Amino acid sequence: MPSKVLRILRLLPRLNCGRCGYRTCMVFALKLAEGEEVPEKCPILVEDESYSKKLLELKNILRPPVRTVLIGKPPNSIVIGGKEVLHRHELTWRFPTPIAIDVSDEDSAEAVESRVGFVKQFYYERIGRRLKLDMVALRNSSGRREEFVKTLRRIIELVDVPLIICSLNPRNMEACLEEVGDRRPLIYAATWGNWRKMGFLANKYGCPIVASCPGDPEGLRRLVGALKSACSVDEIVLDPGTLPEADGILYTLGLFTYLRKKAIKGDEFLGYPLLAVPAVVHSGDMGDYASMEEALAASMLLSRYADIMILRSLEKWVHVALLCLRDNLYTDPRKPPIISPRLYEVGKPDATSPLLVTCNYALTFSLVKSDVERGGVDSWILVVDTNGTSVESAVAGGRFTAEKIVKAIKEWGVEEKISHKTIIIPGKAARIASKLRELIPGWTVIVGPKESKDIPLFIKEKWAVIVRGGDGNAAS
Amino acid sequence: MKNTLNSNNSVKDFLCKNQPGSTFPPVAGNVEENDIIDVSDNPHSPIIVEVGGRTSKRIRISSGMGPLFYKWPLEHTSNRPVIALDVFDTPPPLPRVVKDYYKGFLEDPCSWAEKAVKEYGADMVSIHFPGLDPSILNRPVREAAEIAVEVLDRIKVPIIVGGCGNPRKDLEFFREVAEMASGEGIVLASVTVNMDIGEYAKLIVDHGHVALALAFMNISQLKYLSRKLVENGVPRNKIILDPSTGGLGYGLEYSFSIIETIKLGALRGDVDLQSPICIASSNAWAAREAWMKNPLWGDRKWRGPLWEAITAMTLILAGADMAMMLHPLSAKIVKRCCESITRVVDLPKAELVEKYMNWISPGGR
Repeated sequence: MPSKVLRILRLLPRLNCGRCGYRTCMVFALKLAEGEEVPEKCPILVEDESYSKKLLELKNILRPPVRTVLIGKPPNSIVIGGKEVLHRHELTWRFPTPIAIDVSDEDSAEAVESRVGFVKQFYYERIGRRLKLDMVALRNSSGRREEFVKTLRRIIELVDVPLIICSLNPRNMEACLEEVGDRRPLIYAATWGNWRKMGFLANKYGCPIVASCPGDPEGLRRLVGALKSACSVDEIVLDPGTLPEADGILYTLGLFTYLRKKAIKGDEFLGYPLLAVPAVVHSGDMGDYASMEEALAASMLLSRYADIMILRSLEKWVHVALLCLRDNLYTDPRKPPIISPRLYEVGKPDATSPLLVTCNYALTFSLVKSDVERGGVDSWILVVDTNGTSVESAVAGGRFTAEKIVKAIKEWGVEEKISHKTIIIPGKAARIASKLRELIPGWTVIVGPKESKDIPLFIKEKWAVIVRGGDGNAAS
Repeated sequence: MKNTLNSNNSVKDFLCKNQPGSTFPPVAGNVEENDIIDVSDNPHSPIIVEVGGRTSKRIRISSGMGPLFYKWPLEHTSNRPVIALDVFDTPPPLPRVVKDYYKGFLEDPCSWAEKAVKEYGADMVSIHFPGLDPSILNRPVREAAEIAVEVLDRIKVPIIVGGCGNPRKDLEFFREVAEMASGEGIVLASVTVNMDIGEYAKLIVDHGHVALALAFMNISQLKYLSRKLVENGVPRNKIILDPSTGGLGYGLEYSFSIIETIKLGALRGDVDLQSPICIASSNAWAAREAWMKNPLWGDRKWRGPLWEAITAMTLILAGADMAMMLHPLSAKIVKRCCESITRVVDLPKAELVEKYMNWISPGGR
């Protein structure tokens, strides 16, 4: 690794200008070596022509079997692809699949606004992080140029997320690129019918481009070859086609799997990110079910190698589920989801606030915390080190014990912070209660609910009675 | 809902220890650096488990060849993943969006099961008996077995019978129901390492039933169970593996990787892992996103079924061959999707390609 970092550093400007977002070129080199960044984040490498050879060399050193492609202009940019393995248990998948929301140039002005607004505003909070949608894809479904450009103008007034511009007509495409070419949108698409002209545009505006050859992997491979050699573009995204209807989607999964296997095996013409378009489900007439079908198709494509996808649905339940799945699939399978054990505060607890104890499995803690928050009573949560196991299995495995709780009480100075000497343990740890009472005689040990969702009610009904001598209103 | 994810520890141990090739000694010459296996290099036939018997129709559950669609060009297959719907002897605390589908049927397992099959198209019914638990109903095993047989008589599709999770009482129950339903090819859910495996195996062999081996996210335990069953005379085509299921947002990624690893191990020639895999996507409902009202998350009428459907389909892609499911709508969607698996080869491709391109941008290619 160190020699790789040095090799990378030698190719960087070494001005430590910080424009890439890192303090020094060394830090940036390290990030590049670890595959967490792409060289295009360095504006000097990209803008200064004297660096073009070095940039090329850098890209060769860093190139994974599925190359990375940068869409948009930093800081409003996104990296896709960069995959090195087929299965996530081998190595963490990197560069989570961005989701672009489809906007048609035939959508009404209000529809365009609400679609773009959705990308801007929608979020889903999971384990303390806000997961969001990533991009907007503009589709030239009218086939006309004026509508296309007009809609594009409206979109860029509203957001500055990276864009995908979809038209098979090179003249319509160029009209859009004249507006936003410097923002490096993803051009969709070069086909066998238009590839020379589209490839030329990608080259002229320096934009990444999709090679599209639906249902024909060999044709797609040759199309990539043509784009590379005749148009000298290398920032390519593959569109093997997302065929509509249930049968079509399943065929697509087979095709994606085949292409990704070829890429990981080293086929350099197929070593590019894959584009999926679950939105195509809406080409049929399925009413309420269309969003359901689209979401299910998208979910399958997420685990089967889609590196970027376009969706049409604006249903929150669709995106909550997909963002959650994406988050699941792109976590490091070797890193346990843990939080550090200590005394946490929910709200502004004081000496009379309830004290709950739980394990350090991140998901459990995050649920307990949000439930306590929901209950609206400021509280203390004491987190015991259970090696990231849930309460139930930690109790069974001897990792959530009375001794550990006592140790944690001391370690985090709980007795200095609270006056009531009352501790609520999880219902699933009921069997350690008597041992705990033995070890801390002056304390009251209360067995709480089994499910954390019942915490608010538990606190509301029990806490006031227990601690404040029956003053039922004190909890609120 | 019985086998919820409760052993994150073994998951992590597994995932930390099991780097490619470490658990499953690779068959010489077959494993490439990147762990890509070609199906055609590994000629073993899928194991087909037949469930059902005299009363019910018979269904074939095939272990397939590796994760779904690992072979290209795609091939015709006659076996699609099998969908079972859950029924309980005593109504457990079910989410409202599920209850709505069974209103008036929750008190009677027979009509509940009938609705699941006739109206919601379940291939099988998985009937669970939490009521056996001494702390719930302490239902006598004979009574539970009678209910199971009655359900079988009524619906005439193969059933999975599930105990209450207490290994001693469950074995007692299995003894009763295995005998009473002798020759019916029912699945006894489940055998775990805490159970007397020898006796469980004897019930399977003597009465022609099917074993379901359950291990909590632990491949070596699953292999151990599979080996023990075979040692005790259970044929391989009477064994189904249940690696336990983490739902979306609640451990799905662990189940996903474990199932993929099992299927790749099977492809490499590990016979203990070549049996079909069963999942319980019902566990998806452990995540509050599946059932809780929250305007930020959208309509739960759709959100819940989607949550379970994604759990099931993601794991089916990884290699699961059957699923025990809870929500009728999820089951319907997943079943429909699985039916496509048998049809993909005869796809009217040109027509769909045309449709795709036209939708993106009219004016042809």
